[in-house]
Formats: sequence, C-alpha cells, structure tokens
Amino acid sequence: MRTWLWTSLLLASLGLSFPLQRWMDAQRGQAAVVEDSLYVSSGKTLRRMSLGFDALLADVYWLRTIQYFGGRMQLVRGRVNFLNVKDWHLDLLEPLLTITTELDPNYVQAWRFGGTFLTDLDPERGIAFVRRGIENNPDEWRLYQDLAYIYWKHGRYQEASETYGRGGAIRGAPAWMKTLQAVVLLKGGDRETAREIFRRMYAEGDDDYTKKLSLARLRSLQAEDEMALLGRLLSAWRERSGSCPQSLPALIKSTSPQLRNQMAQGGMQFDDNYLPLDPEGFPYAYNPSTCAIALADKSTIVRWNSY
Amino acid sequence: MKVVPIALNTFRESVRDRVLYNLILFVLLLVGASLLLGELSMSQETKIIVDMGLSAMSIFGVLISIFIGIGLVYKEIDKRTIYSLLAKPIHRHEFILGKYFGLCFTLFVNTAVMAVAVALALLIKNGPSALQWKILPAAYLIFLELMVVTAVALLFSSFSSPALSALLAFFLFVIGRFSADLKLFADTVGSGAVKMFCQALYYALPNLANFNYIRETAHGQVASGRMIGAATVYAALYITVLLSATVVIFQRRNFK
Repeated sequence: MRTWLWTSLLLASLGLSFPLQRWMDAQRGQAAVVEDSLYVSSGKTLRRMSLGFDALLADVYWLRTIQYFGGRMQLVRGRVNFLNVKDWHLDLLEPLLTITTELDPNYVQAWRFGGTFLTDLDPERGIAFVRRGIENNPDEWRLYQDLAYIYWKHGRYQEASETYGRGGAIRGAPAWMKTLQAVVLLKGGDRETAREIFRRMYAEGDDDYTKKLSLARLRSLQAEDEMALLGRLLSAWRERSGSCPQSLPALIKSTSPQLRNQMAQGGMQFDDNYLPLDPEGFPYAYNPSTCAIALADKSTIVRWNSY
Repeated sequence: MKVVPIALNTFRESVRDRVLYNLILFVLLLVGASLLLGELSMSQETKIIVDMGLSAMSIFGVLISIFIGIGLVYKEIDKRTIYSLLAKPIHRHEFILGKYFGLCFTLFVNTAVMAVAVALALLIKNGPSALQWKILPAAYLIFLELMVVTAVALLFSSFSSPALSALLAFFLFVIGRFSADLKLFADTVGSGAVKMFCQALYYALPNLANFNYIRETAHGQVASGRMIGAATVYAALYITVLLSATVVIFQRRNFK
C-alpha cells in the first residue's frame, strides 16, 4: 500500500482514540487524579528502595501531596464548610508529608506546608510535625517563625515568644523575630500583633503561597478594622438621631472631610457615591433596621475562624 | 601507546550508534519540567529542576554505561574483528584501556552537555545564580560514578555473555547504592561471622553513595573539596582494581 494510506490510517486511528478515551473516562466516572491509598507508607522504606534517587522521589511525593490537597479542595468546594479544613477529610495529608520529609528531611517547604494545614486538623500533631522539621533543620529560622505562629494562634503566647526568640538567635534570621518575641509576650493576641505577624510573613515569604495567605489575612484584618470604625460611626449616628442611617453613603457623607481623608489614607476604599468597599473591592453589607455592618455574601475576603 | 586511537574510535562508534540521542530526551524532560512544574510544585520548581536534571543525568548515564559497556568487548568478539585487531601490534591491555576510556569520553560529553542544559534551565528560570555553578561538582561526582559502573560492566563483559553481564552489572549498581544499609546491617547484626561478612562486603563492593550529592545540591549545598577529592581517589582506586581484573581475565582468554 502507498505511504499516504498508512499515514492516513495512523492519523485516523490516533484521532479516533481521543473521543474513545473520553467516552471511557465518562463511563468510569471522575477519574481520581490521586489514589486514596498509599502502597508504601514508610518514607524510610521508600528511601531504601529509591536507589539513591531519594531527592527525586521526595519531589514526586511533594507533587502528589499538592495534587491530593488541591483535589480535595476541588471536591469539597460548595459541599461543606470550605474554610474548615477538618471537613475536607484530608486523611492522607499527614502520611504524604511524612513520606516526603522522610525521603528528604531538608524539604523545608513540605515542613512548612504541614505546619499550616496539619495544625488546622489537629494542633498538637501540627506542632509535633514542625518540631520534627526544626530537629532536622535547626538553622532554618522560618520553621521557628511557623511554630511560633502556631503557638500564638492557639493562645500559647509564652511558647510563641520563646520560639520567636530561638528563631531570632539563628544567624541570618531577621531582626523582627526578636521584636515579635517581646510583642507577643506583652500584647498577646490583639489585632495589632496579628497585623505585625502577617506583615512580616508577607514581606519575608519566599513563595507565592505564603504571600497569598498572609495577604488574605492582612486584608481580613483590614476589613475587621474598617467594620469596627464604621460600627463606631453608626453608634454615634444612632446616639445623635435615635435611628440608623438609611445607607452607608449617607453615613459617610455626614462625616467631616478630614475624617474621610483619614479613612482614605488608612486604606479604606469608596466608590463614586461614598459607598465603603472592603479591601477586595466589594461593598459592605448594611442593615438599616439594626445598624449592623458585615461583609457582603459575595465578598471574597476570607472569613477566618481565628487569625 | 595505542590507547588513544582505540578510545577515539570507541567514541566515534558510540556517536555512530546514536548513543548521544538520549540528550534530546533529556532536554525535552528538562523543558517539560520547567514549563509544567511551576504550576504544580508550589515554588519548588528550582529544586525539582536540579533533582530531575541530576537524577536523569545519573539514570541515563548508568544505562549507557551498562548497556554500551557490556558490548564493548563482546561486539568485537562476536563480529570477529578482535582477530584483526590483536593481530596488529596492540597489547590486550591497550585494547581494554582504549575501549574503557573511549566510553568514558562518551559519558563525559554526555554528562557535560546535560550539566550545561540544567544550568541553562536554571538560568532561564531564575536568572544568574550561584546554583548554576553548584551543580558542577554534583555532575562531576556523577561522572565518577559512571566511570566506576563502566569499569564494572567491562569486567563482566570480559568473561560473560551480554545478558548476564548486564544483569550482574545492574546488581552491582544496586548493591553499590545500598551499601549504607549493608554497613548498618553489619553494625546491628548479632552474629560475629555475619557481621564480618557484611563488613567485608561493604568494603569490597563499590560504595556508589560516595558519589551521590543530588539532594544536597538541590538545597543549594556543595560537597566539600575534601569529599570531592576523596571521592576522586576512591573512584581511581576502584577503577584500577576493576580494570586490572579485566585485563588479567582478558589476557587469559583464548581466541583461537
């Protein structure tokens, strides 16, 4: 047969295989990207089996961890409380991270990821995980920063302060670690301390993820500050007139130009009609019958259970 | 000294056999990793490029060492070209050394091109950085490892069939990578005889973990000059042992 016939046959078969595969995928349902099982659950065993390619295998398990986490996120979106990581059923997260870090104990990003999300699942396990990370990487000040943050988040200010201090003593650690050691001990869990912690995490974050997370928390704090300020203005109006303003623009327009200027300088945004917007650009929700102010339902500001 | 012409001829032969085509696959792998992993790895693409680049350098190199190494002598015997070669004023040890260094030169070119490719991938990803230079000691150590594996393959091919040689060379590579466990086993086992046997194996078999600095390099660390020097001497000693054994066996072979 001629060459063109064979070529056509090849292309046609290749072309047909595409819809066929799609049909088979549809028949079998959503093909799971990551299996919900670990054939080998020990990183130490895997390390022996890797023939010295343990670093590459650690990367494979790191990618698998990210895929697993991302896959779970997609799965629960809209079905359960998206912000409560406990509802995600992340049963394999700890084993996957443990394998990754046993294959490569210097995989700082994996230790930090575990510190963030294992803590949301079980604070003690999260703390134990980051402590193991510090044992393996005693010169990595960022792990001390993460551990101190976990302590602080759970109101353990004394331990948070000590951890900031130990991290701050490491060569190359930024000076603000020492500053936070004192601030956390003196002020505990107030919003200003939280802002300082997240500002530092944002500034020092060496990856997009940390930066995004810190920025989201900073914006959340900014929104809380703005709602507190608007709440005070609403209370003052109510005391003056005995009722609530009809709208937020009416409230803002009643304030002095100096105060409006101060609010703008503090980062508060308004639309053209003086409607106050949250840091993500969504108008605040306002109830004129109760004077209550809140984030709009469609606002993308993250509602944290805690800092 | 007829070693150089034989070595150059062996290099030309491997080029003719398209051995260096694996470089295309390597470059595709690196480009793919650089493009795709940025989205997947959460800021770990630099580490993954180094891990993948150096691991692929090692894997491809070991495959070339074993599968080309076992054929170096066997092909000449099988095609009966060994008769015309040895009829010339060439000593058998010159033939073995020429074949060995020829394949080592192929592996050197292969490793060097791969190292440059990894450095370029890092340059494109992050701009100029120290890491581009830090991969060079790791690549050098991988090359030393490949030289040892090539000597192992050549030794087996001097007295065995290609299939068996490949199997034995691969086993020795695996054991070489497991040597740390062999020592651990020797340290923990109770029986004195078993302990001595394991220790003897640990020191007799090539410890290929001496040449593996991939993980450290990916974290921006470099093997110390002393370790690199010690690994170089270790490789030289081990290669001398293996090549000497190969020459002894090859000199005793009867080609009549």
